[in-house]
Amino acid sequence: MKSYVIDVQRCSIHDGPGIRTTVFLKGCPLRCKWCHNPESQSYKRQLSYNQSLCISCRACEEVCSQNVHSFVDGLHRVDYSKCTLCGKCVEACPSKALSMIGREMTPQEVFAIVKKDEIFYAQGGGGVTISGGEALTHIDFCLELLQLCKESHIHTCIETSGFAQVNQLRKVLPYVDLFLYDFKISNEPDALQFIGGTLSVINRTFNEIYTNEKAMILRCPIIPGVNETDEHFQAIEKIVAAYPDLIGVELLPYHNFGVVKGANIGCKTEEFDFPTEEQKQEWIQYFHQHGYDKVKLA
Amino acid sequence: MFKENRPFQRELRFTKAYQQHMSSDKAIREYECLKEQIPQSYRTLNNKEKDMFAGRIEDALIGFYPIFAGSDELDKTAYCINEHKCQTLLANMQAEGIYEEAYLNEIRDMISFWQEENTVTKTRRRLTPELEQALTGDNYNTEIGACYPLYRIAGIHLDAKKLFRYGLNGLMELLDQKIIDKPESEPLYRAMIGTLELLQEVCQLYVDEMDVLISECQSEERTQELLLMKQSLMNIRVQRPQTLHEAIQLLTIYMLSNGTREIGRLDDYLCEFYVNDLKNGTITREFAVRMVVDFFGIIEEEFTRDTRAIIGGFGRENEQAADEFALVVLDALEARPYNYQPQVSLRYYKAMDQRLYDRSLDILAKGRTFPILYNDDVNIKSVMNAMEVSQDMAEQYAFFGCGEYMLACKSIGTPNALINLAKVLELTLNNGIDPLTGKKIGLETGEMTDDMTFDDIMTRYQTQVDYFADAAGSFKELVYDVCSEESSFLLASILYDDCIHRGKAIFDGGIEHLGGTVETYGNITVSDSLCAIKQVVFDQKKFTMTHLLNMLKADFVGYEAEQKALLEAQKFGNDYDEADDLAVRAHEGICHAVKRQKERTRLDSLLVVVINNSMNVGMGNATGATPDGRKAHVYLSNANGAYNCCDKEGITALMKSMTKLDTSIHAGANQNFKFSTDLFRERAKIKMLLGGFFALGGQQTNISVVNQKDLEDALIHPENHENLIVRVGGYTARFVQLDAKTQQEILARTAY
Repeated sequence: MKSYVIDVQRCSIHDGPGIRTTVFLKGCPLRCKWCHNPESQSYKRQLSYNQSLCISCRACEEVCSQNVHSFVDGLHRVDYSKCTLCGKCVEACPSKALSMIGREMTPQEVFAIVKKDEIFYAQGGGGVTISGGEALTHIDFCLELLQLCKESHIHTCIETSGFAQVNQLRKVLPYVDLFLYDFKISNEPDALQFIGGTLSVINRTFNEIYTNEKAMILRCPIIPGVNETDEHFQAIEKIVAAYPDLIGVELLPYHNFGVVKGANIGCKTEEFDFPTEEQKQEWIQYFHQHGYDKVKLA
Repeated sequence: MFKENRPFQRELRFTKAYQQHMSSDKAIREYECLKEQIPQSYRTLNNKEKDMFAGRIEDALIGFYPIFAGSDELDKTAYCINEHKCQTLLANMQAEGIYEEAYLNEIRDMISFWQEENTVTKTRRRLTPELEQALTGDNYNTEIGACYPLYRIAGIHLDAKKLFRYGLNGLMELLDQKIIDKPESEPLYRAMIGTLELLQEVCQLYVDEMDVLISECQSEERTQELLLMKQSLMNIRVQRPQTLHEAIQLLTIYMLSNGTREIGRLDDYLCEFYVNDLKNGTITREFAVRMVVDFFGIIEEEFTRDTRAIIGGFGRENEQAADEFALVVLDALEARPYNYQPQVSLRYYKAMDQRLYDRSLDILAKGRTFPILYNDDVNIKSVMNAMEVSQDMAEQYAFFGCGEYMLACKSIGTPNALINLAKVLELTLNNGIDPLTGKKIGLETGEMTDDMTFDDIMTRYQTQVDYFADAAGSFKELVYDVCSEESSFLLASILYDDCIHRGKAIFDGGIEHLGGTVETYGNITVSDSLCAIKQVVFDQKKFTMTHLLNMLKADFVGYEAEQKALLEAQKFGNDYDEADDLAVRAHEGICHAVKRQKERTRLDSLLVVVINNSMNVGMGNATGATPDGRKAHVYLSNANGAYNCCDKEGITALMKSMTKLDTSIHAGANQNFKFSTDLFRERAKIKMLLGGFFALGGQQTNISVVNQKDLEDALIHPENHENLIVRVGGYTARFVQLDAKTQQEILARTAY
């Protein structure tokens, strides 16, 4: 069993407790407008072209039989729709402007990397975080990787949007120590419009995790113009009040890293306003004034 | 006191003393010379309003020093002459036309005399033709070579505890007794006693100065301080020190007189004085901090070179008191934000006082690069194995300069040779001929052919390594031999185990452990190159060895695709098996080649240090393109680190790679970590990272906490970043004051 892996990032310090290795799996059923990792949406490999590294040597044009690469007025144009993912242009590119996103890996291969940093995990609650994409849509891969980790007593964590089937989730529940639960949107019409999914599915997943007494940190991306609203903040507040066992709530301010990454794979990502430092402080104040000290800025 | 009516008066008297005692016992001759050097070198206080300790020195142009920088920028030792400065000064005197010809002739004769008689020249004269070939030239900045000699006795760590236990008088009494017990060593003992009397004389000179200053002083507060200084000077002249002030004052004068810049484990040897003074209510903690600040200031200003002040660690007599005083030292470090000497270094161990560790991390977080962290949990065992000494001895390991390990008061760790390993590989690939100059420097190990195996290449490289390691070993022994013939290093011998007891000077068999180090450069450039050869030429068979040689000769011009393949081969620093295994093999190759000099020579140990200053830049400049894909004249790898920006798998992977290199076969390696200010703010996670590194066997870290954007901006607007501090390797510097190539090298290091 294999999945496409975008990256196995060692020494992650923002994806759960301690020092962690984060596994980014490729493929997600949602289409969040602000997606921070657009390269994680497709379940297939993808060609990526970074314009700033291109030296216009045209080596890619020479080796490509599909005419993906063309140079018009000195400008390198990439027609992603024609690409058959043969990888020849990546091999030929001397400046690393071209790369292939997604490497097919087995859980065992990923685990071999995860295991390398055991000594760092042991310094204080660290371990593995499986992220994505939507990790729970790679359930068999996750299950095998999680089981391997548990055999080695490595702390496990899954980051999820909750947009997954509960019966799938149940397979991995016993092997997960912590969930990072992304709470993005709080009403159905917005869910359809901004993330391309239904809230009822997401809520069911949340309840399943919570009722199984799993440790959970709520992560809330705050996107000005989308969910920086009283209604959404009240919804977060309600969750925090109703689920006292949540071990933390993190607010993740919008950033636009996804825009360039999206452009590199030929996919346009919408841009939103950056929240100012004052805005961020206001968010935190809001929660603290309402007595929810566990809400923090990530 | 230093006072010259005309230039060269001191030097002439020193020379006369030397000449009059040419045939005397070398210890007596040294003493007679020091008599004309030590009291005459002391200057009046730098800052009459503020200085807390007496002791300012004016180096002579000709004199006796363990380490002495000439204006040719090369070090000298024992009987030294700064020839360039002498000639310039003489020329100026001639031009001025006010000096009688007889006096000028006297100076000319003196310079000619020392041109032949100085210790470096005497050492050089003794080089065998084989050593002449292996040691290319003295000037590592300008000459192209694989192995360079260094003429210096660096890193003397004096036994301050012994000094305090006896005091000057007590030491003299001890020596008087020894003359009776061991009459055959009488000249040495008498010379030692005479030299100690010179230090008493220095104390008296400063007592006299204090009297003048007190009589002129308007401020009551300052008068009290001057009175304290006077009292301390009077006391230490005749008895052992009783207070913290007296102890530091005595040590200052001893260090300056000997030319010793290493402060060593001051928390261990000063803490009892501190605790007693506090208990007696004679000082406050703030006053102690001020004293340490002033002491550090003197050491920095009087010796403009790298030096260490060490706190923490195993083997301190009164750990609790030492930790308290170590906290005082950290306060003093913080109070001097733009000073880099002495380089305060913390000996860490897992069960240490966490206040000390946390306070150290607080200071590091401010981008100070200090304290440098050393891991005792690893180092003590490593030193035991590397130097083959007991645990008790290993617990007293210390380090100096850029980080060479030695045993405080028991060994000398001075490096006397530098090896550019990337050049050694270049010679291997070119049958012993340096491709840049066409000169034969190495051994003829054969031309590269396309039918040879990778192991053949490894074997030939090791043969060249062994050859230069042997040269370094022979040269080291020669330096010690000549130092022994010429001198007794009296002041150092008094405070070095076990010279007094044995009745022998340091290099005559007095020292307990005759050690030494060899600096190596480009270690990782070599192992990455070997890995590229292995993977690209032998495994992937993309081209042959002879093709590779053509590419290197062409500096990859016209071979860009091949260069890319070489660059894409595995690199050290990513926890990749093959690259790291080759780094381990290369590391063991050089370390053992140097370590086995113990069998070839009378040394108790000779060990590699992978310490690095900015010499990886200079040596890179003298090295052609290398098989790792590096272009000619570009900097080499620094210390034990991954080549710049080749560490792509994160800091945990880098830490794992670094800790694969055996720490128990060398005398220190630098691990440079460049942390972003953002990451370092995550204190808990930083502690976990460092904890993991130490648990893996990490022995040391140089930590720079910088903002990469600040570094980039500092290249464009240096005026806005005067205080941006970075760790180069073995030393710390203001980024804007570094040369352009070193700035680029630091910028190109991965920031985590």
